[in-house]
Amino acid sequence: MPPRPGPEKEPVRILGIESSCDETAAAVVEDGRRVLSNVVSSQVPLHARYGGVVPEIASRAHLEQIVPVCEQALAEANARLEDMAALAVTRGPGLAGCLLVGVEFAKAVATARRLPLVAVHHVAAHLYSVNIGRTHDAWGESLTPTGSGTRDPETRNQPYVALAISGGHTSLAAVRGPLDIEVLGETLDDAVGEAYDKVAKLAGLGYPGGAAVDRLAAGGNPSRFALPRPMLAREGLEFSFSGLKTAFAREVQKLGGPEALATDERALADLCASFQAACVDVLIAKAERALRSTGLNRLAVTGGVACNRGLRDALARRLPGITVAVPELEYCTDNAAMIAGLACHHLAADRTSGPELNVKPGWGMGS
Amino acid sequence: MNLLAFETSSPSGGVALLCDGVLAGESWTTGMQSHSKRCLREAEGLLEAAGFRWEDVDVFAASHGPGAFVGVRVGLSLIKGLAWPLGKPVVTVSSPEALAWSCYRGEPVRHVVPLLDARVGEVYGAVFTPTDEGLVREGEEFCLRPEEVPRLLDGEALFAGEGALRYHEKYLHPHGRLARGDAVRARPGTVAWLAWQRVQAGGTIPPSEARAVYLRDATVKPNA
Repeated sequence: MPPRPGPEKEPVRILGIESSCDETAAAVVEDGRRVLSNVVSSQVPLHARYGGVVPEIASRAHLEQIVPVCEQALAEANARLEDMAALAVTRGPGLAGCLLVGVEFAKAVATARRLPLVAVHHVAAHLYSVNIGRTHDAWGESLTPTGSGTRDPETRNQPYVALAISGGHTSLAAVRGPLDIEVLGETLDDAVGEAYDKVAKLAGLGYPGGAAVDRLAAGGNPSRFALPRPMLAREGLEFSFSGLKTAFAREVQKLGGPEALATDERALADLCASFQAACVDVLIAKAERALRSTGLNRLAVTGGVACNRGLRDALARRLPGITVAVPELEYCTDNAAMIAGLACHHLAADRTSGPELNVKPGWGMGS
Repeated sequence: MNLLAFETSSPSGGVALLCDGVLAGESWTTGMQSHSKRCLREAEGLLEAAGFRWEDVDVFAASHGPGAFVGVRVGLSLIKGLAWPLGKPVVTVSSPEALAWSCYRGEPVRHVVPLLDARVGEVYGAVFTPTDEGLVREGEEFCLRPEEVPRLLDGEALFAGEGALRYHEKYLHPHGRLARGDAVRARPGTVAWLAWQRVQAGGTIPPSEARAVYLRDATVKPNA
């Protein structure tokens, strides 16, 4: 007999704020999963001429953008601050000056409105991002108000292996619940997205260059250059990308440097394809190992590098029998919807913070 | 009219409550704990002691620099976050100006020179002249090496602030004295009082428009 419908629960709406790097973001998420708004003010044009994120420029921009971004998030969600059950903010890891603007602002808003404040781990939120969406999550589950995924966030989530790959992070984890995360492996040096941006710079493709490498790789020969597959021969689930980046730099020099490469479209495309193939091989092989060692059959691939077409195509082809979820693009890059979503579970567990909350730039997932 | 003001642009700082232009409470400390960890809690304490709720504050204020980048952003982020949800306006005031008014006790000097430590061997500051109407700033606020400051002076000065504490003995003592020990740092109460003057002159702005004054390019690393 189906359970009798109980009294309708009030939806739990949370305003999330994210400012850990170069995106000022705010979002409203209902019941930890249904995204009502997701606003991101990107600073990419501000940093492009420097070839990377300049922390002080980013911090200044966050201070200017934070109020308009939050106003827009509420407006797009057709909600008021008094409709929120809590406020959530990224506490770390990230750039200290950038995190500080979000944390101070969020503390003040929560204090003035007497709302609970939830401090969220940025990478844990990326791992969670497959569970959010406007109509469906990345697993394909409906999130409409009448769907099955909206009112019981604690029990909907089945365990999965998650790969968080971005410009700042490369982590493999077993996610047995939104707040039950076991880190299985991390990068020992560069994050994979950082390696993409660095090789793009070496090849004269500008910053950020990950998308350009991906685009060029699609038309190149991945076998032309024998680039290493770092850490693949070793046991374990750690990553390393600095050696691959160095091998790429050597090939660029052999080809005559970025100027010569700019006039040799074939070589540039082949080099990008070879680099991409090496990254994809390593990421998928490590993910497979993690799935085997945990006995899980669901894989979430999250973070900015999850936007990579080459990786998405390879995931679809090379992991038979595994359910793979990749968030929509707006939830792959840094966003506040994932912060507000995960915060719902912290709130349910009564994990809230007070006005003394401070930033934690080097916050490890295990701590 | 109730005004709550934060001073966080140097290692010393805190929060003050001003009611109808009169200081009603002030919490102020040097160093020890970061502004981030204590300012909001201290503001809550001040309001509670005065029997006020957050909604009873009409204007939120902070010093906007030039000063410690992180400290200035703590203060501005706090007032944006307090004022925005309550639909209240904000006021920001110059950090050197707040320091100048904090230190000056009517001494017979030609200049009052607030100096904040800008690190990498420089100071933020400005030169003020005492007049019958109070302190009047001469020229622009600056970011200079401390040994360059005396060329801006044509008489005895009263120096104040972390920059003065750090460099007075080495570069500045032939040109004037250090402010009294109980007046050498900026007080939140003075930020509040200056902010109240701005409010009287119609100088409030929406929280989204509050900006920091840096006087230094964002690409310069403080520890470079």
